[in-house]
Amino acid sequence: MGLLENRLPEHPILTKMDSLTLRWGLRSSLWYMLFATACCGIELMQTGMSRYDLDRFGMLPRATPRQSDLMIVAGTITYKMALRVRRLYEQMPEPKYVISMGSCANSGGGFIHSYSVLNGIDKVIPVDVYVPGCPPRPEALIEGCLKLMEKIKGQPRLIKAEEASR
Amino acid sequence: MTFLERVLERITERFSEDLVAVDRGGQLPVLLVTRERAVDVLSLLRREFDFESLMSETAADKTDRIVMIYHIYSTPNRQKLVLKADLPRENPEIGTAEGVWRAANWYEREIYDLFGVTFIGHSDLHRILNPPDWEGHPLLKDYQPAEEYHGMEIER
Repeated sequence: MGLLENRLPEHPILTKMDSLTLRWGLRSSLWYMLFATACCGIELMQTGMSRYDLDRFGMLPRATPRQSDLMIVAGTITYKMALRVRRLYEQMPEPKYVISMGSCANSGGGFIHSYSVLNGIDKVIPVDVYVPGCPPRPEALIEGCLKLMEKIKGQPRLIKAEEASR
Repeated sequence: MTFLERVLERITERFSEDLVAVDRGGQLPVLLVTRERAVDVLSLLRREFDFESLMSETAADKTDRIVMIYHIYSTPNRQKLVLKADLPRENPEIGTAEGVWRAANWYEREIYDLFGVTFIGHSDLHRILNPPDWEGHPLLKDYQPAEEYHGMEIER
């Protein structure tokens, strides 16, 4: 993991274990920012509630980007809002991940021809997992989260290479 | 005489030249007035006939003109009424209805934002939906969005 790598660059066991432990810790407790603009937000809230329960995966909602690992962009994003989404993304500390939830966040959705709707949140922030649906069922969102956890498991390092160089 | 008939009689008597048309054919009675007198008519309707509710104020771009459309409701008399006023496209201005109903404040900001209609006498006329630095008035028929907004390409 980035933190300890610079201090123990040559130690094979410690850096490997450290990376494994930290990756396991991160993917087992992805705290997501409660970010919802439209209907997908309702499904996001429900996925966090008792019937579908994201908490059993260690995922809790946080109100502030400063304390979250994950931003689930749920809902239509207008050009007006996109500037704020970018700002919120930049306020999240590394390592951070983004799940694009629903058609509107993936590609503009039903509002793709509108003058005011951004056609996909990946035009302003990097997205790790796309969850299709309008809205995606809670089970679909959970699958998206599990996919993200697998992605984190498969990462050799926690900080993504292209971001570490910025 | 029904309430509606009394209303129409009073309007016809008081605003004879400015009342362009009365349409009783549709679901709701529609009064078409000149834009100079629209607010006076609305004011009279509120004061004398208890049309205390401005249900909606909106506009429509009819290519050769912009139409202002007011839907008002009188709760004691259970009567809805529609008022329309034509505005020329080159100079879409009309007096504000804010003095008659405070709700008109936001309605007129929305119409300004989307159609570019200026409301004379409005206390706070600026965009309400689109970002403050947005260019153009989107619901006009000949609206073309800018190429980009703050680095994001505007696609349609």
